[in-house]
Amino acid sequence: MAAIFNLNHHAGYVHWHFFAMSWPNIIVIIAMLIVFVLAIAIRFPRGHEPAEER
Amino acid sequence: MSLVADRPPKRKQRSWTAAVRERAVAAWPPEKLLADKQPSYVSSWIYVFGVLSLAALAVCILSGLVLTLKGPSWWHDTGVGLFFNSLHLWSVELFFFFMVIHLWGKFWMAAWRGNRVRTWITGALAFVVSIPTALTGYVSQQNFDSQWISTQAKDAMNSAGVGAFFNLTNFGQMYSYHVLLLPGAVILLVIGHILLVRKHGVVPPFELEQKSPQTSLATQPTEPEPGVQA
Repeated sequence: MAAIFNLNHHAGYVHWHFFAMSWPNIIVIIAMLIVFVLAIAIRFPRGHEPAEER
Repeated sequence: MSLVADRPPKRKQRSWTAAVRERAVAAWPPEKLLADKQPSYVSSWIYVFGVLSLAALAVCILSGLVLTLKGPSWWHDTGVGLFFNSLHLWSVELFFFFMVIHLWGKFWMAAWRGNRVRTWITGALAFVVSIPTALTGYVSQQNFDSQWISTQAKDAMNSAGVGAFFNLTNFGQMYSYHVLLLPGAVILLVIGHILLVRKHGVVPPFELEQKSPQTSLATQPTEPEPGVQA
């Protein structure tokens, strides 16, 4: 990660009223939401096994 | 009048090991404990995140064992040590990443249905206990990061009223928590969680329940019905 992004500084924060969270944490939560939606939406590869049981 | 007839039948003497074995085999017969087939509805990406969490936990434990053997100067000052340090950190990050998605998936499936309450509770507890396990790891790094985190976390714990029970700036105490007590608890909870999943089966999606008029949330069978495509 450090080879791609310069991590040698403090993280930026989002402040909005009572809400305060660092950008890395916000990005991780958004990434989890995206992966969650994709895991539901994308079809699982079935191969050549019978449909009844895997 | 016969005294022999009035006497209660003599109890069969059984050892506790036999009793435990019989109960264990009844609850987890080998074909259930190490199943080679799963219901067709398990063929979905959302069902993968439980085993991904387990894989991340396995890497985390193995890399942690190596770090424990070698010590702080090794994991900070050598190339291989830094590699294992990073391996340990990123496996924890992935463990939480996968576990949260697993938790979301199971929450929206209402995975406590069909007598699976204990499965849900052990999973939730494993998640909750994993948080202080990670925190004690962050404060055991032996660098400026850990000093900063421990002093900040100490204030947080004191403000929550639990600071009298442990001291986050005490490296020896935090390190013991991190390498023994808390991971032990996580591992036990995860083992219990897996055994309960094996016992009760993977929770079926709602669609399968609606197709069967006899089954409802209260009366659904413990075993998921195989063979219906989700």
